[in-house]
Amino acid sequence: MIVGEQKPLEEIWSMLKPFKRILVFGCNTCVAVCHTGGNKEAEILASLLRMKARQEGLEMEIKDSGIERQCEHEFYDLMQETLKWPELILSTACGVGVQFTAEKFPDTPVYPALNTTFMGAVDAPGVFSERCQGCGQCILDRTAGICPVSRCAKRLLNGPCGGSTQGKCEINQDTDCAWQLIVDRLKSLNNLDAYETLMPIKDWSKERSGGPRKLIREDLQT
Amino acid sequence: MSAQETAAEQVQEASVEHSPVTTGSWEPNIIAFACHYCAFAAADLAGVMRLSYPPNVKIIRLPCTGRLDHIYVLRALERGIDGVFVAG
Repeated sequence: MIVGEQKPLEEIWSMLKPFKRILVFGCNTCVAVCHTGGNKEAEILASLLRMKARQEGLEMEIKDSGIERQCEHEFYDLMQETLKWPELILSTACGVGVQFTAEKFPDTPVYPALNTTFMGAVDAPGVFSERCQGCGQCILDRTAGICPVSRCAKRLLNGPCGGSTQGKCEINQDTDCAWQLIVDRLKSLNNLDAYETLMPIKDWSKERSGGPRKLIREDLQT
Repeated sequence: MSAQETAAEQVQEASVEHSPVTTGSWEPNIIAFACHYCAFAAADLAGVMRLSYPPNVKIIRLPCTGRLDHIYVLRALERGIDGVFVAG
């Protein structure tokens, strides 16, 4: 899922000061999985901000609400009245949700409470790590299910660099060398031939470098 | 959960009773979240043994302190409670 980290409370507070009616708006899908922006976290953040306002003697009405996902139109249907009330919507969704909410409510500023970071998985409770960068040209069939685009610091497509030491990346001793992982896994799958076959030059235009992307499914249009 | 309440309903907030200042010294308002099988049972036993504790401590019984959510503590602090005691 999409992982984000909540901005420091001081940073959020400095964004909110000029406003009198604030709605902290949660998203209960990806950012709830990483416990930073779900409806529950929105409620907690609203409570903290109300106490902060009281400490600083500022008259502010801060309420919280949330929907299942802030990236689809239908989920907003029941929230039209709630979302008309505030002067400011503080969205705890990922960057997608913040923008989508802003598009749907163009007369209300929508601010982000999170710094959206990466697409990742839950390794263990509370541990989330990056797995995919959305390069648009998936090669996981040839790299034993380990992505060199997102997990190799240099995004190499053909084997480790000279900096790979004892299975670790040269940029950080805690980061596994993705290519070491790939070779080990290909070996255990008896598929080292895939390693011997050179990966062709990647078409990076399919990635974000080629401009913002859009997918249109003709067969799903209404 | 606030997510399902309308914005209007959230305006209704309970106010905290303040213990009357009799001796001139400040008494904190404490809420104790006690779990049914351990700490609440202990509080019950204290009652049976006629042990007394100050009236400014109010006990809320939970089935287990695992049921305690961050928001309970925050809500208590927001409404003016001076201290939250979690026992379980």
